[in-house]
Amino acid sequence: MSGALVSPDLFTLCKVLLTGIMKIQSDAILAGAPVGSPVEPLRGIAYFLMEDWFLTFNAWMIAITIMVTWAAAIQLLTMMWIERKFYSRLQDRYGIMISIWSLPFWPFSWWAKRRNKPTHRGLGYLQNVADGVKLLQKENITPANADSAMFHTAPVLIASSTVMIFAALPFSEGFVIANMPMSLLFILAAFSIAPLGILIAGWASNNKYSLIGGMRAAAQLMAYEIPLLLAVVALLMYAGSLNVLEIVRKQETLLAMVGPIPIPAWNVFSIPQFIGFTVFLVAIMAEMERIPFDIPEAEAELVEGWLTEYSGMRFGLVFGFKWLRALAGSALVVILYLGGWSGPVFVTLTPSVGPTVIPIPIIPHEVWFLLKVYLLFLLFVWVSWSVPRVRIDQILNIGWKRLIPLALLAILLAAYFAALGPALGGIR
Amino acid sequence: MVVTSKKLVHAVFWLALTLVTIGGIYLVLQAEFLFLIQILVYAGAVPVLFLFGIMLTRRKIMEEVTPGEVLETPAEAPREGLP
Repeated sequence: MSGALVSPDLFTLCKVLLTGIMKIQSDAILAGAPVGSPVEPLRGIAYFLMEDWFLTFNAWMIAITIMVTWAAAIQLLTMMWIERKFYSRLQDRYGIMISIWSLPFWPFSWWAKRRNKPTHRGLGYLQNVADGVKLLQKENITPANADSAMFHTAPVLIASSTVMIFAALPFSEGFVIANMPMSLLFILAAFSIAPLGILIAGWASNNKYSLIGGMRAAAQLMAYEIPLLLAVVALLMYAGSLNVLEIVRKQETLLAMVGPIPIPAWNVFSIPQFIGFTVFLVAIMAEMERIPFDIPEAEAELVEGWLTEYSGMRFGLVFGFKWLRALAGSALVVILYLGGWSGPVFVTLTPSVGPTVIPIPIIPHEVWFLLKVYLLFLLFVWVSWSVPRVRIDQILNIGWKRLIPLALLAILLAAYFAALGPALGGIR
Repeated sequence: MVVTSKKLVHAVFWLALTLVTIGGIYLVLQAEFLFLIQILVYAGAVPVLFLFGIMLTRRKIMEEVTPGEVLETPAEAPREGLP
């Protein structure tokens, strides 16, 4: 379907670039400190810069920084913007509007004045940055009689387990930090450490409502991990591998042609996986603590639930990592069921005069992935802001009594189809 | 630290850490699958269940007593947890 060029691994790319830069520097030092001059000991630095372990270490650092700090953080900003703009349009209002025209320094203020643009009527992308800066300025209050060690450890637990997900989550075939043989299990395990942090946060706040919110959150999150894992088991019977790259590779083939449109073999198009898809979708909405499963931080009932007592950047950290978990959850749904990053990268032109077809790259793999993640997230936001909140006992009811039988049915059907696969003529 | 800390909630947290480090031993012994399953089950679910058990029992059993607490009869004691 795509991919005449082989995209290099993120780590390999970083290492190649770094080797080039270090070689230039090393050669410059070697040229500037010839043998016999008083600055000769500097040649040791030149040899050190080209050492293999130094280059590998720095290449890993740069790759991790790119993924975690740039890719995840910019996705975070974009997803917050999508949500806030979309739900405000659903509510028939304009929504957030701080953008680069509001920046008070040159050159933006000059451009804004020149084009006669009002400051607070932009696209709204920088509003979230402004909110982050606002949170940095606030005082970090620790409630009295709170369990100080636990209170400060809980956001660390939530944040670190969420960042671990991004070590194994690929944005495309080359854009992954660590391609381990069981990366799907690693991602799900990192997802499931967070309820512990949430419970500790609710407990350590010394606040009845936080405690109730924390216990409800832990019950809900643990209850919905089981249908999540069962749906993944149903998927595994088809995919046969826990490696995320393998799962997406299997979805890149062609399933059928409807008229002129080729339909790729996404996992959502097969019957048992479709049931698994709905189960996984509902379960991941509960894991992200979105409305309608919003009881742990229901504003009308529990103030902010388990994060009531956090203020300033600690609140920003926990709040932001809730969003990052939402990003990881949507990315997981896209990778497992919606074909990951597969999409037509090249449009081939056949010139009437000339030997071969010319591939023109239009949309690279990473952009396909992000488009799918944003569209899925839009669906989540749409559902969130249109339905009322579900009560906690109803939430647990749905989790234990409705989703688990559906997930087991999906496993049954998947096993059936996998056993009879070739006999059914390709129906998966 | 699990058996020597005074506050019960700290003990549960140290238990979670102990279970994670046992998973680390599995990792060093090159059993990655066991490590991941250990994190999934033991760091994700078992301490949470422990904490449920702690928080749903009577306050007198736990070591922490807030100052100025008036001890009531068990029927009137504040019940924490799921309503």
